[in-house]
Amino acid sequence: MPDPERAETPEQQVRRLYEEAEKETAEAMERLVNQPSFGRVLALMAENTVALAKVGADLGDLVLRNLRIAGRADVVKLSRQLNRTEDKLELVLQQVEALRRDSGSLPSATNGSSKPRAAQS
Amino acid sequence: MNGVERLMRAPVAALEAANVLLTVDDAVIGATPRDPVWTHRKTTLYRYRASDREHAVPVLLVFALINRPDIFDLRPGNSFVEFLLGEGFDVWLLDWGVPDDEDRDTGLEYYVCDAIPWALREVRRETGEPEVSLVGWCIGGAMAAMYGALEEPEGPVRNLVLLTTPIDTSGALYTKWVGTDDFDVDFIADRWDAVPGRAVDFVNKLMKPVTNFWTTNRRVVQQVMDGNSNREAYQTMAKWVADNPPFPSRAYREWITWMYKENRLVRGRIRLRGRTVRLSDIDHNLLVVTAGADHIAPRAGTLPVLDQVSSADVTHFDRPGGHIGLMAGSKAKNEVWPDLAEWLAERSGR
Repeated sequence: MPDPERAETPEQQVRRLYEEAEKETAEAMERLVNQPSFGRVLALMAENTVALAKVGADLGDLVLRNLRIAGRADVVKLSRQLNRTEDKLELVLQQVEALRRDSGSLPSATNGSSKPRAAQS
Repeated sequence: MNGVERLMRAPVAALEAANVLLTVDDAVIGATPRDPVWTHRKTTLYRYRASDREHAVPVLLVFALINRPDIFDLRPGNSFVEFLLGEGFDVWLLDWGVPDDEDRDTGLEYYVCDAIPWALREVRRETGEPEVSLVGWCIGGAMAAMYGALEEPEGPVRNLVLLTTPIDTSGALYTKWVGTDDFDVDFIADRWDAVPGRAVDFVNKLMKPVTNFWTTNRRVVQQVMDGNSNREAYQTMAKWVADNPPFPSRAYREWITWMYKENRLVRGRIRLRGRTVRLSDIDHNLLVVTAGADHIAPRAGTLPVLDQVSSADVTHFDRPGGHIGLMAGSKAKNEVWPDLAEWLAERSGR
C-alpha cells in the first residue's frame, strides 16, 4: 500500500505544512487571548485609545468653534432636540390611541385582548 | 493544474483576489423587498412583501446592536427572510438603525420597554392579528428574553425564539476581558457618546485573531487560485461583518456591567423601569437554538434559560456551527431553517 505522504506533490506538501502551521498558530493565539493578562493589556489599550480619540475630537471641535463653524457638538445638540421632539410625537400617538380605545373606535387587535398563552401551544 | 500552470496563473489570480477584496462594498445585501411601517429615532420597523401568507401569527425579527440586521436577509438564495416568506410567514424586522452621539442616552430600557412593545403594537395594528412570534438573535435574543420576562400575561408574544443568545456569561471569554475591574467601562462610556462599531468589531475579532484577521482573507486568495471561489458568498458576508453601527454609550455601559461584570440576567437582578427581569416569568412557547462552536455566546451560557423559564412548551435545537454561521452559513438553509420554520408553523395557527 503506497504511503499517502509519498503520493503528495511538493506543492500539496507545502500547502499541508503551511495549513498545519497556521492552525497551530491560531490555537496558540486563542490560548494567548484567553489569558487574564491579555484582558489587562486590552483594557489599557482601550482606555488609551479612547483618551486619545477624545483629545483629538475636543481639539477639532475647539478649532471649528473658534472659526465660527458648526462642529460635531453643535450637530449632536440639534439632533438631540430632534430626538426629544420625536419622543413627544410618539407619546402623542399613544395618547391618541388610548383615546380611540376608550371611544371604542380602535380595532380589537391593537387593544391587548389576546388570549392567555397557556391555552395556545 | 500542474505547478507551472499555477505559477503562470498566479498574477491573474492575484488580480482577481484583489478585486474580490476591494469590491466588497459593492455586494448587495438585504435585497428582499420591504416597506418601512413605523420609525422612531433611528429605529425602523419593516414589513417584507409577500404574495402568500399562510400562517396567521406574524414573525418579528430582532437583531443585536453591534451589527446590522441584514444578516437575516444576506443574499438571494441564502436569506432567512426569503426562506420564511417562502414558507408562508408574514415577516417583520425591527432595525435599530445606526445610532450616533446624539443617542448616548439610549439605554437597554429603550430597546426592551419602548421599541420592542411599540413595534409589536404596529405589527398587530397592521396585520389585525392579536399575537406575534418574536425571534431574537444574540443581544437581540437577550433583549427579547428580557421583554418576554416583563410582558404581561395577556401580552402579544405567543412564540419566543432565542438564537445564540447570551444568558449566563460566567464562562465567556468576554467576561475575562471586560468583566474584571481592569476594564473600566465607565471611563469609555463617559468619553464616547457612542462606542464606535469598528472598536467593538476589532475586539470581537481578537477572540480568534488568526482566523479573523488572516485566515479568512488567505482563503479567498487560495480559492481564487484553485478556481473554486464563491465571490458573492464571501463579499456579502464580508460586507455585513464590516458594517458595525456604533453602540450608544448608555446601552454599552449597561450591557457590559449588567451582563459581563455582574451577570445579572441569569440571576434575575436586572431592573428596567422599576421592574425586575426574571427569566422565570417567561411562559411563552419557547425555542432556544444554540451553536456547538459558538465562541461569542457559548452554548453553556445559553442553556441556563431552559432551567429557569416557566413555559410549558420548551424546545432546544443544538446544531453544529458558529455564532453567525449557525443561521447564515451555507448549511443553515438545509439544517437549521426548516426545523425552525416547522417549529413556528406548528404554533402559528389561529
